[in-house]
Amino acid sequence: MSDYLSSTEEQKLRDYLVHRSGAKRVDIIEVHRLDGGAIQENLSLDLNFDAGPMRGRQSFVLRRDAATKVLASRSREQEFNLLKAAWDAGVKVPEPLWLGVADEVFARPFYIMRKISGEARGHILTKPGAIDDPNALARDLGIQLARIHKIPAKELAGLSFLGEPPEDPIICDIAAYRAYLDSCPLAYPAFEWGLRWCELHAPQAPSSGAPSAPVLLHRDFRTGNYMVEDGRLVGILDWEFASWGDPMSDLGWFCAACWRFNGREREAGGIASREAFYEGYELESGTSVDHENVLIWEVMAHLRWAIIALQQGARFSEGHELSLDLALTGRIRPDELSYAVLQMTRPDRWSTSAAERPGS
Amino acid sequence: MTQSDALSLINLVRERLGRAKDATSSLNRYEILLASAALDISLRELSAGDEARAGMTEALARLSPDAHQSPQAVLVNISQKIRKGQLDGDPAIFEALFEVAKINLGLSNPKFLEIETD
Repeated sequence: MSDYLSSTEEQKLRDYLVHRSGAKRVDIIEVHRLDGGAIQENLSLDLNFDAGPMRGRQSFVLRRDAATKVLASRSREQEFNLLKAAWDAGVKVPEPLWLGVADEVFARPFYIMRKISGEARGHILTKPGAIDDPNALARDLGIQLARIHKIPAKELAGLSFLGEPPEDPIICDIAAYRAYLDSCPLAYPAFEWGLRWCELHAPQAPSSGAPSAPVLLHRDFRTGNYMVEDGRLVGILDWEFASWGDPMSDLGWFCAACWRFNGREREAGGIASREAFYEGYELESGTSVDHENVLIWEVMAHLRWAIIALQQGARFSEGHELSLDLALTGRIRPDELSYAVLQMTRPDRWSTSAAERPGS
Repeated sequence: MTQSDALSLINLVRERLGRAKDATSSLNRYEILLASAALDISLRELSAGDEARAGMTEALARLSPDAHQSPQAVLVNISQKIRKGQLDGDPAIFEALFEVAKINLGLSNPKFLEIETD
């Protein structure tokens, strides 16, 4: 029995792996918990298969739910299907292997993917000199993001849970964030100020085929959620928020100042210039990046992170999870994000005429 | 226990954690950093929280014609008006909200404020 699996779970997991891999015997050599994952728990599995296509020693990651989850987070089954669609579309992601349903091994669903090695921590990757050719990495990230946006999600049966794309993604998001703020015990006027600014400056709803027409988004495409080894991108992680939306919102999330860690002056995720990232995106997508639209989505990125931080704080304050990490996120991030949102939406940045608004 | 004793105790624990941080694994170091950050916030709340709240009340009082309205009631009222579009780009509202944001950051994460104003 390990610290992370009961003896019953360990036996069930061995049986499951034998069944899925075609091996006769699978030995669990080592299990340990990986860093990160406030919403999901990631277990590193070192295994030995005696036969079948997986024969020999293999390193996998088992992903299962944490005790509680954040609103809008996908189920493990949905996340597995998203990962599979991305893998099939040639996006750099860890290879998804097998999905486990509830009670097959654990009470809740889980999935197993191949382990990729490298560095994902934002504060490490954004240190000056951490990456030999940061522009090449940013360009590749742009290419991968465009590849995600080209996934024909509507045509894939496994992604039917995504439902219909919203007609006007930014207005939909603003409504959702306001609804959450209405459920909070305290008022957050700085976030209301930012949401109103976004509402006034929102680009008009895009028509089908336009550069900002709704596509499949990753929705957490940022430094900290991709793995880099020897300066090269090896995989995009954390697909739990994927959904429909304006493609420029993924670019805004990636470039937002709140996700630049130690590289505040490097606008593409704290690692490189915005131009290199845009160049990769445009090359792969065949469309032009709408920079003004991206800037609006950067304000929305701060507001979205603020809502997530409030949700994480509530998980602690409502007694669901006694986690210091969650408590601090809920205490510190909303203050930082209030300040940042106000900075980006100072009174001189409000255009009052409809003709001045982007997309008009 | 007096407030001064509580502050001294927290300071002592904070100092011990700082020493332990250098002699431990990366996972434990992260946990120690979190604990230290929580203690830092508690220290600032205990030593400067009242003054900060008074500053916030003063900033918000400038926005409310009703002198008896609580700060939270003022925040609710402003939030509703902002959402209705009654305060679009209003410089006085902005200045008050910005001041409140800075006061809050002074308690939760003053380092962020230092970096922003560099």
